[in-house]
Formats: sequence, C-alpha cells, structure tokens
Amino acid sequence: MIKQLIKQTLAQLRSQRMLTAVSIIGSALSIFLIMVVVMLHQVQVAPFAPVSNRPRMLHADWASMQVIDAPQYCSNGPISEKTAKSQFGKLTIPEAVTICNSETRPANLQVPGSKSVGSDLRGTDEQYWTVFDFTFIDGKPYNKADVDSKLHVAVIDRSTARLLFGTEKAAGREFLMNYVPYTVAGVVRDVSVLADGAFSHVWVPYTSFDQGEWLSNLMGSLCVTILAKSPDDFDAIRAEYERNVAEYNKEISSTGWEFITRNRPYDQEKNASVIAANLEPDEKADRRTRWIIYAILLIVPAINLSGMTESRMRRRVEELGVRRAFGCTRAQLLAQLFSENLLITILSGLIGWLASIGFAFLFSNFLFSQSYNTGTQPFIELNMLVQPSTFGLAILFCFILNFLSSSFPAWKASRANIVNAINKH
Amino acid sequence: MAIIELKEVNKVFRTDEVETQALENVNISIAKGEFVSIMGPSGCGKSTLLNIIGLLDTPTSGTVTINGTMAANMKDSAMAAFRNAKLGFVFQSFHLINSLNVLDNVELPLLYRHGLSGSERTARAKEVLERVGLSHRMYHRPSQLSGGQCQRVAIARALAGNPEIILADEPTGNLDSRMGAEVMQLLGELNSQDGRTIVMVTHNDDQAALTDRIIRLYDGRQVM
Ligand SMILES: Nc1ncnc2c1ncn2[C@@H]1O[C@H](COP(=O)(O)OP(=O)(O)O)[C@@H](O)[C@H]1O
Ligand SMILES: [Mg+2]
Repeated sequence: MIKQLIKQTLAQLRSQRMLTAVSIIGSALSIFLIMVVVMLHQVQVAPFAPVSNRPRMLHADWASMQVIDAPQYCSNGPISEKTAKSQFGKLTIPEAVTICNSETRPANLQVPGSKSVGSDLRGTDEQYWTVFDFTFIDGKPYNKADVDSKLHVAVIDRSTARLLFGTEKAAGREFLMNYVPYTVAGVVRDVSVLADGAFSHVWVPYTSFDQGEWLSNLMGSLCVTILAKSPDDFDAIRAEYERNVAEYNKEISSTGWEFITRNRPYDQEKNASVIAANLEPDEKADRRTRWIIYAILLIVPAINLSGMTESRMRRRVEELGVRRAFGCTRAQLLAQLFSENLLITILSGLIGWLASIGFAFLFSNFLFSQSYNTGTQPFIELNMLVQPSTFGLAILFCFILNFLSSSFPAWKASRANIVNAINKH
Repeated sequence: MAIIELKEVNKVFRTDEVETQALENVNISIAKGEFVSIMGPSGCGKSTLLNIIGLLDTPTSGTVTINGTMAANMKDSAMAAFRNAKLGFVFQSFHLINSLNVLDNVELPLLYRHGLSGSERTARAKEVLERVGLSHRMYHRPSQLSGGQCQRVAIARALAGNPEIILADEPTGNLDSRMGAEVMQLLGELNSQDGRTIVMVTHNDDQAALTDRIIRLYDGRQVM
C-alpha cells in the first residue's frame, strides 16, 4: 500500500516536474514562515538545558504593592531579600525555590595585571543550582553556607574562564570583580540569553554584594523562580503564596504598603507574555494571536496551492478516469489523491522546517534579540529549536495545509464523470 | 442465459445549446461467451452504448442487467467492484498511464482488488504480459512502444483482473492493418480459448465478419 503510494507519487513528481516543484516551494515557504513564528515562541517556553525544568517552573520576576489608603498608588518591580524570603522562602509544596537577581548587571572582571573583561553578573542563592540544570565543566556550585556567610565565590561560564584564565579548568583561581576579589567555585557551559533567568556570565551569592533596597526595604532587585514537583501543584503553590502574602501584609502594615499578587507566580507560558510589572499578562490572548497568525500563514498559501493542485489534477483526469474504469472507487481515488498530496506536503514541510532552523541559526541575533540584556548577543543551539512539540506542530501544519489545499480539487476530481474524464472533456 | 441485457435503453445528452438522443430504445441481449461487434457510422452512439454496458455511464431511461445484477441499484463502490472483477476495457487510443511503466500499467486493476499481495499482483501482471507477447517490454514506458504494442499492453491490462467480459471500443482504430490483425488475433483467442464474452466496436467489415454477431446502430437506433 505505502509502496504503491510512494511509487505513484514519484511518478507524479516525474511527470509534472515544474508544477510539483512550484507546489513544493510554495508549501515549503509557508511551513518555513510558520515555523519561524513557532520557534520565536518556542525558545521562550520550551525546555532546554539549563532551563530543562521549564514545564515545572513558576516565575515571580516582579511583585506589586499598593498604598493601603490610596490603592491608586502602586509600586511594581523586583523585591527585597526580606520580602522574597517571607513570601516565597516559606513555601512548603515546591521542590525548590530560588532567590536571585531578576536581571543581570554589568560587571568588570580582571585578573590582576591583565586587561579587564566586561561581563554580565547575576547574584543568586544556592537553590539556583537545583532549579536550573547547568552543566559544570569544572568545580562545583556554591552552597548554602557560602551564601549565608556572604562568601566571595563565583561560578563563571566557559567563555569567561577562557578570557580570564586562558583555560576552562579555572576552579580555585582568583579574579577581581569590580575590584573586589572573588574565587572561582565552578565553570559551566555558556548559557544563551534565551534561557531567561538562567542567563549570565558570572554568578555569585547575592549576599556578597550590595543589592539595593527601597520602599521600607520591601522592594529590591531580587526575583523568585519556583520549581514545582509537578505542574499539578501550581494551584496549590499559588494558594500557599497568597496565604504567605496575606500574613506578610499584616507584618508590614506599619509601612502603609500592602502587596497584591496579580495571580502570581506565573507558569512559563504566562511569564513569556508579561509586558509590564503592573499588568497581569493575558497569555490566552497571545495564544489566540499566534493561532490567528498560523491560520493566515496557512490559509493564504493554501488558496494558491489549491489552484496548483487543481491544475495538476486537470492534467491527469484521463489517468483518474482510467483508474475508475478499472475499479477504483471514489473513496479510494480521494484517498489516493489526498495521500499523494500529503506526501508532497510533508516533503515540503520537511524542507521548510529545516530551512527555518537554518534561518534561525543565521539570523539568531535579530530574530531572538532580547530587549533588556546588556548587549550580549543571543546564541541558539539545536536543542532549543528541535523540540518534539515543534516537530509535532510542523506535522500538524502540513496536515492542515494539505487538507486546505487538496480537499476541494481532489473531491472534484473524484466526482468527475468517468467517460468525460477518459476522453478529457 | 444472457450475461448482458439492455432493455429499452435511452440516452440523451443535454448541453446548454443542444439535446442529443445518442441512444433510442435499444434492446440488446448478449450471451455468455459470445463475441459481438457493434457497427455503425460515426456519431451513431456506439461508444455511448459500450460505456453504458461497461457501467461507465448511466442510461437516461431503461435498464442494464449484467450477470444478473441490475446496474441502477448499485452504489458507486459496488459498481467499481463489479467493473474490477467482471469487466476489462480496451480503448481506441489505449489510455495507458504514461508516468507508469508497462508492468505498473498492467497491474493497475489489481490495485483495486482485495487480498492480493504486491508479489501476487506482479506475478499476475507478468503472466498476462507474457500472454500478449510483451514480457520483454515490462520496464518500458508506454511512450517508448509502438501503437500495436501499446494496444497489446492495454489488452494485458484488461486481462489482468481475469474478467469475464471484455469491452473494446475500436481497438484497432489507431493501428495499421498488420498490427490491427495481431490485436484481432489476440481478441479472438481470448474468446475462443478462454471463453470470455467480448463486445467490440469496429468500423472494419472484415473484422466484424470474424465475430459471432453484428449489432448495427444508425442514429442511436438499432437496425437489423
Ligand atoms: N458527453 C457528451 N455530451 C454531449 N454529447 C455527446 C457526449 N458523448 C457523445 N455525445 C453525442 O452522442 C452521439 C453519439 O456519440 P458516440 O457514442 O460517441 O458515437 P460513436 O462512438 O458511434 O461515434 C454523438 O452525436 C455525440 O456527439
Ligand atoms: Mg466512438
């Protein structure tokens, strides 16, 4: 059956080279465009090291407060250590909770006597190394005792290790960060800016440098990422968080401020839709928008392709008539035309998909540029782009494209009068 | 008992401008194993008649009974299964599929038959190609063959499904007389050796004379 189908499809490809080539290019282009849109979203939500746990993560990048007596006055942003520990540190349901800088900041690194190196710095706690799955090339992460004792230790990425020390085996070596001495605890593989909270070049205990706090030490520069045991726990974790916030609000009532939660913390998809700290993101609207874009990117080429499919069918009405004369039913003919076309569409889809991956690599800088980072260009790796979900979507889009572009021409061809078809009327 | 029975068959073609009565009150009965030729001037309805017998077209009125089954009662799938099992078509201009090689062309009717494996299909196709003397052209494309060879491939295709009835519409119309004679020889054997019922449209009196019976049409009507 499959062999016959492939044989017939190949025969079709051979006999109508030009038309088929144009159809394939058209479908490939359409799948290519869609897959670029898919990837733009995928890199924000799909799991890849060191954010392999994205499906189990909850994010509280920012928090929101309002003045108790005048709720129209509010403050939104990263939080202080005290707030983070009271609201999130006490959570019992998650597997791990990390407190770290919500954004990286520029830092000057230097080995005495050498040129200084500009880099991105993120202060973290020790849980950070549990929530994110970094690959250590050398040494190991710092632990709770290090963080509690505000030790000047650092994890640096491979590129930074090479720049500073000329080797990636840099554990135990010393350097100056903003003129303060630090010791390298470990070296990790480079992390892409696209790995949001995991990205940096240098990580140190957030206790080891001044974090800056304001508004009665309620707000600061920290954020929280939660690793749940399972996504099923998300609601329970949010409920526990709400209770913690209510309790914390009582403690801080003398400040005149109270925290509001805006349904935080957000899962990966919702967090990717955040546009401002004072607005709850509408990830459903974003999802709708994406599907509308997919629909447009499918329907418009499908209309053109169906014209081409029809002219391919018109050129073979005689063949289709002969098949019917020798016992092919309408349903079989429909199935044949449909699967032949699907094979061609899947071939095109494969081409379009590979092209989109190539395109993503070539143009990663502008495709995936991040608004907030310190100028570091995003790099991408194959495992960010090639996900089971992207592959699934590519196949799904091929099916839809095939359905849209070939069902009407195939249906028409299968209904044609046999005698007229054979005599090409 | 008649294997093909047409009763009061009328066929009217309606287009926007004209209405053509292609067949008028045709009554035909063909016995199993008969070799019948249909003759008449161009446009008299011969092809229309053959197409109706072959269940490729439906009459405007009247009944067609083949092998005891009334065609009007059949659904598309039953009709297709019937054509596949019982009928083999040979056309004046061959109607081979040019994108497929000779073997695949001959296998075509077997694709629509249940319970045949790929190797069984190929074996059967090779067998009938052998019979029409073209097993050495299996992997050629139809475009690489002469007209006479094409028609023999078409006959092999009609034979592949081992049908009881072969319907041939001017099978020698596009062939020179030598190739035409070869095709006639082959059809004759299918009738005399295998006992297949053959209905053939022809313009050629000599060929018609070789058959058991001649049905003559004039302007859509049967003439005796
Ligand atoms: N599909 C059709 N639409 C309209 N008229 C047709 C059609 N097929 C055949 N005819 C007309 O019916 C008549 C019989 O045609 P046909 O059976 O092909 O004749 P023959 O095969 O004897 O030459 C002719 O007048 C022809 O023009
Ligand atoms: Mg004719």
